[in-house]
Amino acid sequence: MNKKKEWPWKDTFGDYSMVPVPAHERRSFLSIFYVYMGVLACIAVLWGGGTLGLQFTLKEVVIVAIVGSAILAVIGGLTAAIGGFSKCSTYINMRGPFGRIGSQLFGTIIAGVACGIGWFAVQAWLFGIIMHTLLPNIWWANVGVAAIWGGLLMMTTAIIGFRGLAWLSYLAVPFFMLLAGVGAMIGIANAGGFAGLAQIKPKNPVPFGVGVTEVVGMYIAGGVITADISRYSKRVLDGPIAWIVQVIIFQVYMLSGAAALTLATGAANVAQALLVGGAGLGAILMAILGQWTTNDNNLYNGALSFNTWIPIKKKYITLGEGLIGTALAAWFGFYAGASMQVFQNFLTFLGKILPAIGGALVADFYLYRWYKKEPLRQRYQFKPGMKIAQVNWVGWVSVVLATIIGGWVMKSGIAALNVMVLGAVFYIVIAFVCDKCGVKIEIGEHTLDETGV
Amino acid sequence: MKFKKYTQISTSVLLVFSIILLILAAAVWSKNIYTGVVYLIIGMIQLICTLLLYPRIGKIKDETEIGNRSVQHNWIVLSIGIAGCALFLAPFFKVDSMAIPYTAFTVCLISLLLSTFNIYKAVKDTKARMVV
Repeated sequence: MNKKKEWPWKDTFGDYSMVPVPAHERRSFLSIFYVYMGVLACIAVLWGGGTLGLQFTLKEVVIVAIVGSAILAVIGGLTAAIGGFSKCSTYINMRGPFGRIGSQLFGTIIAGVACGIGWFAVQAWLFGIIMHTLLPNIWWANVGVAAIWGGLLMMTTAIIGFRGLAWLSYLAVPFFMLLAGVGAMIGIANAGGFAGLAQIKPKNPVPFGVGVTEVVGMYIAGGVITADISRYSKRVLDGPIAWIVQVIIFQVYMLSGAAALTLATGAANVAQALLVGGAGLGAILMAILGQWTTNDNNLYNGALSFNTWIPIKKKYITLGEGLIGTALAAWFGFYAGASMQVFQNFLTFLGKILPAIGGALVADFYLYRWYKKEPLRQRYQFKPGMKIAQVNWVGWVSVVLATIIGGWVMKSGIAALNVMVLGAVFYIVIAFVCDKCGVKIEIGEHTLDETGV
Repeated sequence: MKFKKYTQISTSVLLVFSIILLILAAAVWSKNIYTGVVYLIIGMIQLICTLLLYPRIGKIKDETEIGNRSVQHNWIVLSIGIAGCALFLAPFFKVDSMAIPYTAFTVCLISLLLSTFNIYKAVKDTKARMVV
């Protein structure tokens, strides 16, 4: 009775996707940490490490991984704290810098298109490559064919729901920690010791900034949507701390482990390197399982964001999204085969476009609302009957300008960082100037009902 | 309090298995250091995980909460157990005497089965959540 009194919302769509998480549903630091780790534990991270192993020496890989992860830690830490304050998902928080329609559009770009379709397709394609590595002469293990049945398989568990995804994630996290360690061990053994490994020169060296952009791009989608998990935290700082620990310590560890393996064996394909190195079929199976569980999450999160503007049961959205992702994965498989270029292009593209959205969100919450003298704990506190803008045009303009200038026009620095900083700077400068000139930054008005719509 | 007692006993059994793994790690260390490291990592994770469960359920009276915490710890033992089973017999971790890898594999398999049963029992007896 009391709970209902304190919490005036109605969770019509489930999983508190449109409303703040109530106090009795909030979780411990450890739970938040597990979930973040579950998202990190995927073959794509090892693949990212493998790519770095082709481009940098081991020492450089560690530095690139630390710098990239530090950028991710800042972005994800700041957005996680926003979730900790508001207790709402990213797509609801984005109503601040982008308005209601903007939050639906940009939420769909981040979670729906980038995670639910983009990452899902890339990981289903990677699944095809692993199967092809394991069973090179069997028709159903062809990269394209395996991507199709792998994608369909991953889709079915995503349709079953959140609990199934969580169980599989619990199993995959320690697997991956160990797998990255085994990769490093095989690398050290193959190179005749750690000193030998440290001396190996990469096959295709690239500039430092490219490596950092790849690291950032690999996990930036996760970094911008950290509030989706941190909204469940009991204390505001639980989410940011859990995020920072997993990204700074465990991501660097996993990237370095995979890179060590690639440096020593010369094989960019981590699964193949593990197999040749003697990690056995079990290690490959672990990789597949981890990839599967993470891809479930991609599809699940994507469906949540699509659900904010498509009023049908989530499982049908998951089905549609999964079919598109699987078709794309099959296309990658048949067209690109086992080439790493598709993966590298995808990481670079994500690294260029997504940080702008995070930058605008962070600027609006921490800077613009501070300038407007809104107390920290009152920011993004949505309530039934509250009026919100339909569109905040400053957020839209900032994202477009930051992406074009930071991602394509600027030729120096780290693209992902350029885009994020520009997103924040454009937002705060334009909003400040408009405020001084008396120009409204918000267009239209919408009243929230008790379901959060 | 019946479930608390059961949890403490089964955790003690898991603790013994983790210590066996650490002993095996010491035994293979000079033969294949990588095998020793993997046994050590898995043994240490299981040891820490089981040891931490005692204080975490020590003063708790609510059986469901004890069940929830038991589920959390047993998930880790279960997943690291599967990792051990998958890796211990791999060629890279081969040692002269195959008796040691098979012993490690068996110990991991029993830990895995026991932790699976512990999760099942916690959910069934105390209505604990499988999603922690």
